[in-house]
Amino acid sequence: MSEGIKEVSYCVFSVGDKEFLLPVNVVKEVIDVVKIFPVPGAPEYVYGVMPVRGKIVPAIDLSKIYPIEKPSYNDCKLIVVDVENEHIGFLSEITPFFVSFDPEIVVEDVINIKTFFQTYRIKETRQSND
Amino acid sequence: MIDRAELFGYFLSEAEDHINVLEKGISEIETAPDRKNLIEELFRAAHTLKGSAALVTLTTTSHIAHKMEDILEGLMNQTIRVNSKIVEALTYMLDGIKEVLYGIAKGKDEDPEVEHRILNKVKEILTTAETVQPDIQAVNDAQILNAFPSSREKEPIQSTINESLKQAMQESQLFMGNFIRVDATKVEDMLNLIGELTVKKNYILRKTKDITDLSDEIFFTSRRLLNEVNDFAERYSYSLPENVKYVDPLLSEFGELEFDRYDELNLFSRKLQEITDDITESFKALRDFFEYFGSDVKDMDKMIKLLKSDLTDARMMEIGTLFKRFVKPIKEIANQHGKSVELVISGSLTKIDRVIFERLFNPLMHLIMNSIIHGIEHPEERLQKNKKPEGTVTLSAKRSGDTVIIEVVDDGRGIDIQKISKRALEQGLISADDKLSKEELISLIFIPGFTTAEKINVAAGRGIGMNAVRRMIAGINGIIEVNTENGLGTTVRIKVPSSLAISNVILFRISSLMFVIPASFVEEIIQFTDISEQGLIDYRGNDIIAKEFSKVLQLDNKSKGQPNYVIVCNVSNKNVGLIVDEVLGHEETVIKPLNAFLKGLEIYSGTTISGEGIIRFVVNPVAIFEEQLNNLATVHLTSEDYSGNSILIVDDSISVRKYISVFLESKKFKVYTASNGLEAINVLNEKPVDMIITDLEMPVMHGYELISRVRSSDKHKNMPIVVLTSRGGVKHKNKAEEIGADGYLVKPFDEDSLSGMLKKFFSVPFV
Repeated sequence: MSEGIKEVSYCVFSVGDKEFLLPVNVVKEVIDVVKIFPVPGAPEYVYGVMPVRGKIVPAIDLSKIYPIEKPSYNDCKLIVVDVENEHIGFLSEITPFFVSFDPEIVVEDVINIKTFFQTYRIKETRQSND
Repeated sequence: MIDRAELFGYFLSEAEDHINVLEKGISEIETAPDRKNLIEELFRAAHTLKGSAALVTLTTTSHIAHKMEDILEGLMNQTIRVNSKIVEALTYMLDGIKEVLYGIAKGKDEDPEVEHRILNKVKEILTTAETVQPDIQAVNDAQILNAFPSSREKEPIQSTINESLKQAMQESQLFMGNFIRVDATKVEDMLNLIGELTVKKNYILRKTKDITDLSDEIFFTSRRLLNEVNDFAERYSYSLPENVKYVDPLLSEFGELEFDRYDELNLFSRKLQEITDDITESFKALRDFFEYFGSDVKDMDKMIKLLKSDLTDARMMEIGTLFKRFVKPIKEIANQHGKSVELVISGSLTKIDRVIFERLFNPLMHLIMNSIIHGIEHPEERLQKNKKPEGTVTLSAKRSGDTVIIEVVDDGRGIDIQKISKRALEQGLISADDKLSKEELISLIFIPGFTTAEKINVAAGRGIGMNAVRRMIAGINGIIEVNTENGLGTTVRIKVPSSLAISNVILFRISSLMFVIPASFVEEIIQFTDISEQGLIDYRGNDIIAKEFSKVLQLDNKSKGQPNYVIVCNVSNKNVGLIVDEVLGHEETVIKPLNAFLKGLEIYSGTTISGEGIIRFVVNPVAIFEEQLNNLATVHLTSEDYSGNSILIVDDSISVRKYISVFLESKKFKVYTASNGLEAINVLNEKPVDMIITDLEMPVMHGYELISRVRSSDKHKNMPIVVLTSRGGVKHKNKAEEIGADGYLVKPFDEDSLSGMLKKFFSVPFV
């Protein structure tokens, strides 16, 4: 084993023809999508919600955010990630796999989960300050 | 009033903590690396112990703790130096406190003798302490041990140790078992679990009823089978001689009436009889089981309810603790505004869920500030009005069933209705010819951005005030009402559920989507008849604002269902109507907060999962009827379904009903069943049905009669009806079409022909 070289691991999943990467440490679990319940009133990219261990996790369809061909979400997976003490999930057409890179390499298409959350979470219309 | 024993109970559980701190700390005081912090910690413990003991009038305990506090303070200021004598004195005092408290726990009064004994002894120890070398390291174990007998009236060492051991054991009994401190989140977790248990239990309760019905049906069918078989067996159990083809040579000597002979049919009929008997017996056993099972589940239901109420109680807090928090801020605010205000608190002992307790502080603070700043007049003004110069704000709480009613009452000038009306006109919220009742005018103060204050001021009057308060109250499924008398004062009444752990909800449906609404908002459920162009419906002779929930959700026309019911909700001083397709009943459930990613969907306040695992969103009527609702994305129900269309299956055969149900449910139809025409009519009267599939030959009321009755009723005359029968002949078919059947399928049928039939009547394509 080569010592001293630290590798950075990512979870790779895909939607349509596009691959996305998530830092391994944010991924909580990967589950089979059995039944997704619609969220009436939510933007298109919220595909639905799924119960995961008693919690209700929104399933996000990245094809509605990035220009991707319409994916087929038959038999797909949900990658549940941990962000801001909450769980959200990304739909993936493939069973995700893991890769490691030298930290020197600039990895593209990594989702910054915090930024993503802040950008795409549904915002309140008015702040109920105090 | 809290009785004394209960008070001591609380005190003892608290004292235990302080004693533990002191006990551990005192033993470490000489060796601790960070002595300064330790002494501070000990000082705080002794100080608090002194204070709480004084509060429950345990003067001896309080005095001893006071003395400890003095010594510790000396150590802190370094006017006293740490040495073994000091440690001994502290230990001795702590032992004294423990002795007294042990007596209290046993129900005895304090023994004032102890105080004298302890304090004298401590004095004695401390006077000798001055001569002791400060070098603590030099004091070895033997010396410390030797120090004890002298302070304990020359008792032998052995007995001292034994006694202290005995005492230690007694103390451990005293402090163990009576009270435990549990992290509040743990109680919360347990309550959540109970909530989920309740959901599952309700599911089992419902299913048990279904299964009991089913087992009844099976039982009667098996009885019928048995009768048939018995008849058959009676006829064929003995053969006529001419039918007996084989004669056993052994029996040849017997005549026809002397020995029964059996042929295969006889044997078969006997066998059949035996088997049927066996089956009937087994069914009986099964039925008995379900009878007991049902009552067992009901017992379990009771136990879960008990467990729930016990645990909910454990999480309850007295609202007085919350009320007291306002005492100081009220004085300050009143002073700042040059007003004199007296706070009157009543119903302090009313208990309320910890979660609600915490979330009431902000809204109450806001209301109290409003009362002081806008309500209560300046002393001079009050005197002119023949009021006493000091204004009164009353905070009261009382329990009413499962809700707690909290009132904030002031005797100030009241809300100026004229001013509201004027402002509302200026802001274009109402028009001049609107004739609004007083309640309706008051309800305008809840509109976001509405204010009557001339000047915007830091404390209150920013206009978001009452709107924010209403939102916060709605967040705990509560409602708020305001009443005001010009010149006499204002009453704000808040109704909140006493617990949030398990909520009562009303279940309803829009198309194929299921939702719930907290029962605390719901006034009444009425039939939907008509809505005016202005969006008003009639409720008990009054016009109230109503919204079709499918329009709020912006369901496209294709996915839209049929509005049938209005859920009348109370949203602060006014009723509003939420128009839905169908109300499906009520249930107890656990409401989970909305996922943070979805928080902005303000029309929902949370989610719940049904026993069957279906996610339902909790609808927040306050947000829906808020005047400026944010735009929601348009919903297209893309799922492969008939979006909640419902079909009634009428057939006397349970297997046919079951088979078609499963098939239709897989196509997302809502399915109702009936075993004959009369039952079908009853279902039609109660449930929204979009299509009927019926058999022809049935007991009680046959299919032809059902069809003609449906065709002759006003409400259902256009209902699609498909006949599904084993009669394949032209005669039956023509007759059916003649009286109004729209389709005719012959049993046995395949799924394709049924699908084909459905396509004729429902436009949504299959996926």
